[in-house]
Amino acid sequence: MPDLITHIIVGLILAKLLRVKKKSLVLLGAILPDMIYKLSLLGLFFDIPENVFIFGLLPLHSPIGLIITTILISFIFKYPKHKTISSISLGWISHLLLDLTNKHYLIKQTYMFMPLSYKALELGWFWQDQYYFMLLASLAILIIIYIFENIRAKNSV
Amino acid sequence: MAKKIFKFILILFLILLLFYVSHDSYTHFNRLFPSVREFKKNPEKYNNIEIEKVGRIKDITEDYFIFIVGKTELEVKANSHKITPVKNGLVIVHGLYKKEGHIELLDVHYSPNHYIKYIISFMALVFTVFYLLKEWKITKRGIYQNA
Repeated sequence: MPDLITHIIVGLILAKLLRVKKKSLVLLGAILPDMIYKLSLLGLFFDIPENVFIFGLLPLHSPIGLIITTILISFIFKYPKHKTISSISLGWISHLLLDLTNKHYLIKQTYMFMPLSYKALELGWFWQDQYYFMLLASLAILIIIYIFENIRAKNSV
Repeated sequence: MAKKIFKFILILFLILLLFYVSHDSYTHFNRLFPSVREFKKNPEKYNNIEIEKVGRIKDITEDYFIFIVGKTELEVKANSHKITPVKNGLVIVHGLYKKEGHIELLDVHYSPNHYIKYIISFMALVFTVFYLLKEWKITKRGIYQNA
């Protein structure tokens, strides 16, 4: 399960590759699925009804909840709607795709077709404590992109 | 004016839709995976239900350990699994609710130093806020591009 830094790095990589003008919107999208859903972690430390948080907030970690949230957020930004929505969506799509690598026993986090189907998609590659694999891999790709950009900039001068 | 009304209705519809999906998700999963609170209130009702819970380990004996989810403590029968304490971390318990009021362990996954991940993730959140403020200006009327 990648940590938020990995999601941000992957968001940055995509924003660079696709030449998105407002990269911060992609980053916002990249952390959006976890921003509210991870409030469910409070259930680890406080006496709150854990299932209300875990399962009630789960749609915010699925396409349906994220599409709704993205549209709602787009009303706040005074920027062309289609650009705002597509940039934020690029971020959360990358987040959900990365989360497909997660491993759980029973309770998954990637219910792509909720509420029509509660069948989870999960490749089951990494437990949540094995986030460093993705972190290092994405960081390496970002560094390569930066080096490549620098070389290209020097050559064009 | 008509545009404003349409926008208001759309926002209201989206918020209601979000509540509906959230409620649907909760009722669906709560039926499949009852909470530890519900289980502790009526263990017989939830006998042999397969669950996955994330929490902390308190005391370990030869046959069982005390598992803490939130503030609720539960006994987990270890079933020949060797249980070890986790430093700064959490455990994921896969087991069965038993009518006697304990969980029978099927498998366990240790997640040591788990809190480091939360610290890293918090840094990511701060970075995103900085990046947003670099590109955008927050006003009472909305968020505008920085010149």
